[in-house]
Amino acid sequence: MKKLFAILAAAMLPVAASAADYPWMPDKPITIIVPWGAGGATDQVTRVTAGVLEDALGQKVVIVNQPGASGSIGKKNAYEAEHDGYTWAAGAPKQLGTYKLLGQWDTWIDDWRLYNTVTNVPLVAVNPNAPYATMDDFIAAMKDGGVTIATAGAGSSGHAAAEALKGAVGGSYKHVTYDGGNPAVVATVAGEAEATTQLASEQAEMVRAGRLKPLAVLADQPLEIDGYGTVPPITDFVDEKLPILSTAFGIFIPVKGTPPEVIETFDAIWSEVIPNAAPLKTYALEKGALFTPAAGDAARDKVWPEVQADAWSFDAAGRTKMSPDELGIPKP
Amino acid sequence: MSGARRADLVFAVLLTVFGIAATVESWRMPTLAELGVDPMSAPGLTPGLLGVVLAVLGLALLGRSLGGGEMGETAAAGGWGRLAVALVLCLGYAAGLLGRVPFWAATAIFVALFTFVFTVREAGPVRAGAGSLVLAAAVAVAVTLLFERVFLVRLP
Amino acid sequence: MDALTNLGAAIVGLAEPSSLFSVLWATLLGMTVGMLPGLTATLGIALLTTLTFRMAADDAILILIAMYVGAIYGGSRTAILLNIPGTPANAASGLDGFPLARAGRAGEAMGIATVGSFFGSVVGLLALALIAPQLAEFGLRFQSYEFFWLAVFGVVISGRLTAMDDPIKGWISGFLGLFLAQVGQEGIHAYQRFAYGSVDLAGGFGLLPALVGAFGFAEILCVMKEPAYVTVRDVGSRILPSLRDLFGRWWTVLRSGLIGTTMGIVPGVGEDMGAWVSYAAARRASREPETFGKGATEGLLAAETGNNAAVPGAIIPVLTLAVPGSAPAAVLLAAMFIHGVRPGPLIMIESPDFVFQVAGMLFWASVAILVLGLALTKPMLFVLRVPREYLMPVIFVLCVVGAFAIASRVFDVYVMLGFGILGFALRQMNYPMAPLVLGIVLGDILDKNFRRGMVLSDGSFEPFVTRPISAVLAALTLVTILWGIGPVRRAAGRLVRRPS
Repeated sequence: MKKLFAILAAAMLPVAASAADYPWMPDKPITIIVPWGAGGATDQVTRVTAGVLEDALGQKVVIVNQPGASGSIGKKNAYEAEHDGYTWAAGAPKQLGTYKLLGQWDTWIDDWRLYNTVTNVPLVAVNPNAPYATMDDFIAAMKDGGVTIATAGAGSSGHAAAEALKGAVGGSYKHVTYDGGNPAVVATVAGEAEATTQLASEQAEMVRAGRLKPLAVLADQPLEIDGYGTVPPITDFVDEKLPILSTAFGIFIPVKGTPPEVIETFDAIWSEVIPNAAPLKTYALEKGALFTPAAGDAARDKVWPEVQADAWSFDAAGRTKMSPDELGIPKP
Repeated sequence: MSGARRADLVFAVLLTVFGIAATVESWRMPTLAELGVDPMSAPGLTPGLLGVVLAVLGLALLGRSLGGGEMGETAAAGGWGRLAVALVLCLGYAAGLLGRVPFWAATAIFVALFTFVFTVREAGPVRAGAGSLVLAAAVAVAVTLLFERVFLVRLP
Repeated sequence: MDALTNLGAAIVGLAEPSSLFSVLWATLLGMTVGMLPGLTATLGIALLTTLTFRMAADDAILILIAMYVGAIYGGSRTAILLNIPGTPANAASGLDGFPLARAGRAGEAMGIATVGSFFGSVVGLLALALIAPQLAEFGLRFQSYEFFWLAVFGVVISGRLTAMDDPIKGWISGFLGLFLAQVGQEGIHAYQRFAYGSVDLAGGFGLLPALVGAFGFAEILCVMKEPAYVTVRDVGSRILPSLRDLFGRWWTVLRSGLIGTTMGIVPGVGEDMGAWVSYAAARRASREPETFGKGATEGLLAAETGNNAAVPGAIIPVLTLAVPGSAPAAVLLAAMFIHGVRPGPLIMIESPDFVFQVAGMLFWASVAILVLGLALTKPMLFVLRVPREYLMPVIFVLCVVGAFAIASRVFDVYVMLGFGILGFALRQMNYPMAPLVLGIVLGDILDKNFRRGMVLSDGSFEPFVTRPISAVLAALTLVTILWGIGPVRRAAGRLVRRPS
C-alpha cells in the first residue's frame, strides 16, 4: 500500500530532487516532442531515454507525439517553442540535414545540438509468400521493376534504404508509404506490399515469428537477430558500394537562444550517465540496434556521413529541390 | 418561402460554390510527377473528389429547396441578444485576454464577468457579484492546479 | 475450456488489495480525463506511461489499462449530461443520452451507459482470451481498399443516423468533415494543401480542437441563446436498469459487444466506429426505430457497449501482432515495450499467460467502472442542477484549455472558436455535428488509403469493389445511401408491397 501512495504522490508532485548537481535545475516538466506516432522506433527509444533523463535531472520528462510530414511538423513545433531548454525534439538527426534539400522545411543540422543514443540499420525483408527465396531473386525482380516496397514515407530511413538499393542494382520499385515503420512492416506481413526496407528494430519481432523473411541487412556486416539467426549483409550480393544507411537516433534542441547551462547539463549527462544507462543498453540489445551515445560535435560527426549519404541518394533519385553542393554537403 | 427554406437555399448555393472551388484548387495542385512520384498518389486526388461530392450534395439541396420537396423543421427562434453577449465574452477571453494576462487571472476575469452579466438581473448586483467572484476564484485555482500539476499540460 | 480456466486464474490472481487499489485510482483518473473535453484516453495513457516508468511491468500495465477503460467510459458522462461528448468515441452516446437527461432520466441513462460499458468490456475481453490470434489474422485482411470503404461507410451511416428526417444534411456535414481534414500538410508527400503560405493552416485542423469547438462551444452558444432555459430539477431516482430490462436486451448487448470488438481490431478506426456501427445495427434491429435519437435507452446501450468493447478489441492486435488498433492502444504498446514485455506474433508461444493476464486486468477495470460509475452517478447529477449562467463559463474555460493542451498551439484555440461558430450556425439549420467530427477523424484515413490503394492497383478502381470485404462495405454504403433518399425508399417499398 505504501508503494501505491508513493505513486499517487508522485503523480501530484514533481519528482523529488535526487539529481546530481548540474548547472541547470529545471523547475517544471521538460517536453520531448516525438515527431512520429506512438509505438514506433523513435517513440520507443525516446521513452526509454526520457526515463533515464528523469532520474538524472530529478524532473519529469513528458513525451508528446506530433506525427506528420516525415517528422517535420513535430520538429518544427519544437523549434518554434521557446528556446529555454524545456522543449526538445527526438528522432533521427540526419533528417535535419535533408529537410531543406527536399524543400520541406528550412532548417539545418547546425541549428540544433544533438544528443545521440542508439543506431539502427535497415533490413530488406519480404512477405514469406512473396516469390523471393533469396536476395538474388529480389535483386533480379527489382531490375525488372516489379517489386512493391513499403516504407514510412518520403525521407524516412526505409525510403532512403530503398533508394540506395535501387541506386546500386538499378531498376525501379513501386513505393508504398505508411504512417510509420510499424504500419509499413505490418502491411508487408499482411501481404499488401511485398517487401519492406524499414529498420531491423521495427522488424525483429515479425522476423522471429517467421511472418517476415529477412533477405539482407543494408550494412557491411551481418546482423544477429536474437531468436532468428544471422542475416547476411548486402555486400554478399552486390558489388557496388552502398552509401551509409545506418540511422542514429537521439534528442536535439535548437542551438540559438538555448541557455548555455542547459547545454552544459546535458553534455554532462551524456558523458556521465547515458553511457552507463542500463535501460538503454538493454533496449539496444533486444532490438538488434547499436548503443552509440554521443553529444554535441561528436554526435554531429557521427551523423554527418549519414546526411551525406542521404542527401546524394535523394539527389540521384531527383527528389531534391537544390544540389547538396549548395548546402555544403560533399559527395561521400 | 419559409425561413428554413431560404436558409437551405443560401447554404446550398454556398456549398456548391465551395465544392467547385475546392475541386478547381485540387486540380491546380502539383502532381509532383517531377519528383518521380506515382501520379495516382497526387495530393489533389482525394480533396478533388470530395469537392465534387460536396458540390453534388449542394446541388441536390438546391434542387430540393427550389422544388419544394420534404423539409425539416424550422430552427427555433431565441434570445439573439443573450447569444451576442455570450459570444463577445467568450471570444474576448479566448482570443483577446489569454496570452496577454496570466492564465489564472484571465480565467477569473472571464468567469466573473460572464456569471455576473447573466445573473445580475435576477439576483441583484450584490448577490450576483458575490456569486460570480466566488465561482471565478474557485475555477481559476482549480483549473490551473488540475491541468498544470496533475495532467502536466501547458496552459495558454 | 482451458482458456477460461486460465482467465479465471488470472482474475483471481489480480484480486489482491494493492492491485485493486491501483485499478480504482487509475480508472477514476481515466474517467476524469474522459469527461474533460480535450483530454483523451491517448493523453491519459501517455501521461501515466511516464509516471509508471519505474514500476514493475505488471503494475504499470494494469494502471494503463484501467486508465484506458476509464477514459473511454468517462466521456459518456458529459455526452449525457451536457450533450458534449468527452471523447469522439462518445458522440453516438449523446444522441439518445442527452434527450434522456432532458426528460429527467439522467440517472437511468448513466446507469445504462455504465452497465453497457461493463458488458461491452466483458464481451471484448472474452474474445481476447478465447480467440485473439484468429481475430488478429482477420484484422490483417483490412488493407488500403477496405480502409477507404470504412471511412466512407462511417460518414454515411453517421450522417444517416443523426439526421433521420433529412439525411442529406447529415451527409453534407460528414463530407464537409472529410474535406476539412484534407487541409494542411498531407501524409504521403508532405505537400501543403490549402495552406496558402500559412504555417498554421499547413498544420491542419486538429481533431480535438474541432471536436471541442463543434460540440462544446457550439453547445454553450445554443444553451445561452435559449430565452428561458429550464434546468432539470427531476433527475429520476432510478439508476440501475432493472434486470428484466437487461435480459430483454441481451441480444443488443451481445451484438454491440461483438461489433465493437471487431471494429476495435481494425487499426485506426477503433472506438468511434465501434459505437456508430453498434448504434446503426441496434436501430436496424429495433422494434421501435423511430424512438432512436429521441431518448431510446436501447440506442444508448448499443453505443456505449460498442465503444467500450472496442477497447479489448484494440488490445488484441497489440498483443498478437504488436500493431495497435487505436491511438490509445498505440501508446499502450509503447509502454509494454518499455517495460520489457514483447507483444507480437510469438506471444501465444512465448508467454501465453500474459494474454490472460491482460484479459484479467481488463476485467477488473470493467468492474471498477461499474462500481465507480454507479457510485458516482448521484453526485454527478448535481451538474444538471447548476444554472447555465454558472456552468457555461466553466465549460468554456475547459474547452479553451482542452484545445490548447494537445499541442500547445494558439492556433488550436482559434480552430476551436471557428468550429464552434460554424457548428452553431450549422446546428441552427438542423445539420448534425457528429458526422462532421467523425469526418475529421476519418479524413486522413480516407485520403491515405484511397491514394495508396490507387497506387497499388495502378489506378484501377477494380480492387475497391472486387475484394470480398471491400465488396461488402461498398454494398452496405450504397444501400444506406439509397435508403436515405426518400423517393427511392418509397419506390422500393411499393415494389415490396405489390410484387407484380
